[in-house]
Amino acid sequence: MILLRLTGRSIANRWATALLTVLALAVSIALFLGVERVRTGARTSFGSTISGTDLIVGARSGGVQLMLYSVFRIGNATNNMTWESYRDIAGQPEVAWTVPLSLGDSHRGFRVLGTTEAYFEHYRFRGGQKLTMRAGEPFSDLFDATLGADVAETLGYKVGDPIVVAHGLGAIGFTRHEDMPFRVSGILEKTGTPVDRTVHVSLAAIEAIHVDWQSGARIPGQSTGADAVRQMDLTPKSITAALVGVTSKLKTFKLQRFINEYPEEPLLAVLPGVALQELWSLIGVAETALAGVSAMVVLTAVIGMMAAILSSLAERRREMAILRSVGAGPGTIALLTVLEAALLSLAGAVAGTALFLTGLAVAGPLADQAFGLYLPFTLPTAREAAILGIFVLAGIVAGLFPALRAYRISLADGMTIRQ
Amino acid sequence: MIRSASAALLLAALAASPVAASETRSSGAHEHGHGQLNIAIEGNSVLMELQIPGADIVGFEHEAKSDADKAAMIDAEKKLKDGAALFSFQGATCTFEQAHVEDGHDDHGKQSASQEAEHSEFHVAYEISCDDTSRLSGIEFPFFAVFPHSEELDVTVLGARGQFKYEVERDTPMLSLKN
Repeated sequence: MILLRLTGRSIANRWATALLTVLALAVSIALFLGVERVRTGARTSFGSTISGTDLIVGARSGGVQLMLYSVFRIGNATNNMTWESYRDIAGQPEVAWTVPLSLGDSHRGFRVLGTTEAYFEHYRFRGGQKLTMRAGEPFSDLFDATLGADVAETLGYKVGDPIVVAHGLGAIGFTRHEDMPFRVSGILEKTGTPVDRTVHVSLAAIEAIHVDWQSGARIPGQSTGADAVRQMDLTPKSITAALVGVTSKLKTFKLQRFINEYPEEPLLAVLPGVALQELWSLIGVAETALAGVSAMVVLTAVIGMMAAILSSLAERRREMAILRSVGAGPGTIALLTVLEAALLSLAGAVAGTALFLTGLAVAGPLADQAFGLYLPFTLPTAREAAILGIFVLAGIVAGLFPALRAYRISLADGMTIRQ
Repeated sequence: MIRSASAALLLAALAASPVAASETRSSGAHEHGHGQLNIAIEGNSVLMELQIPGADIVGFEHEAKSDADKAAMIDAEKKLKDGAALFSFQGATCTFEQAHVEDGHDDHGKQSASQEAEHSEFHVAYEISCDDTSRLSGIEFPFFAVFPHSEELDVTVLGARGQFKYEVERDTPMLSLKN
């Protein structure tokens, strides 16, 4: 106890250096915890891009690719699936609901997704959260469009604005479907998923804008008015992919097998959770790199602390000599140094955690809003607590080296009068 | 009775599919030493489907003609049926209610008659009931000890917490369901 008090007093005497050391440790530990939290948050946000969907069905390609183009809207489908096959699968007894997805058009660089009202009912993200409207309503008319939050923000659209959908995916639509103007019916809340960057219209609307088009080009001299289009049969011939929900989880594999071995058309059904996991294993290397960098930051801070204690030994030569002269053994001196390292790293850990939690409380909601990175405010997890423990231990170990030095030189050095 | 019927239907689907697929010519992947295990959990029932190459189970994939081969097949089917001796659920008390074994040789043989290689697979469906699946913490695989030719199982788990895929290898024959 007296040793602890002595250490405390000694540190208090050199408070400026000690404070700076603790500050360096605190910043590094806060950084490390922050990176850890962002890392797990990114993984969770990524993994919760889609939830509640049991199977994603599309043309037979690869699971990751199907996931990329149907959910992340990255890349394009190798093939579409026919409407007949879609109806057939939707009619299976194991199927509780289906959401058709039709991609391929764009609006000023944002993907246009043709779907049904079921999309707003069944598309879930982040552990079962439903899509909610920030303004207006989901599309109900043929020429209604529902915008993702980013689309509305970037292009400055409000409910009721007219928009024109372009054919193909270029940012500058080279062939625009100008004769079929759409109206913004509603804007979705920010989700942090690719939904934010999507323009949603009905399946029939996708057909409607292609009425006068053939093989990707306009049929010369032919123009069907919006009213005439409304009278037409706008059942699609094919869709890009479909989200499927099953009546019981126990039937998922049976349905998946049925679709994967569907004899009439080569189709693929993937489990979205598994495909996300495979995708993350590809891009997760960056995650490991981040963790590596922040570990190095902590290592630097610990080494910094060691250097600070070592240099303080010179400052404390008289203090130690006096302690020796009043009867403290060299072991006690060494112990004092180790105690100092322990106290400093403990203070660093506590201050770092406080700094981290403050940062999380302030920046967490902002990160969610700006990047869709979900960082809930929670006290340090068991893993983070373990990291803190290891950090304090590392601090104590780092204190051993100066302690050894103090053990060796305390008496002789303190008594020698320097010139 | 209903339980056993549903498992039988499931197996019928497993077995019948290659025949239908043969009309359009397609061939599934088949890798020796590499089996697939699908686990679906809902409420307190668990459904497991095992698809594994014959080579992993009996060490050969040709049609069992000799008495020794036939005996090996019968023995293998008996072992496969005893799910409790192959997979051990941790954290909850689970009972293996039903097991149906098919050796996919016949169907597969017909399908691949025109192909150069003939592969056979075992398809097994297990129905399990547990007292509380929410307490399930993991699965151990005495499976690898029972079948010395098996190397690896690709395990897909569907449950209340989502969909997960794991690889379980002979060296570490266990799987943690806690995340």
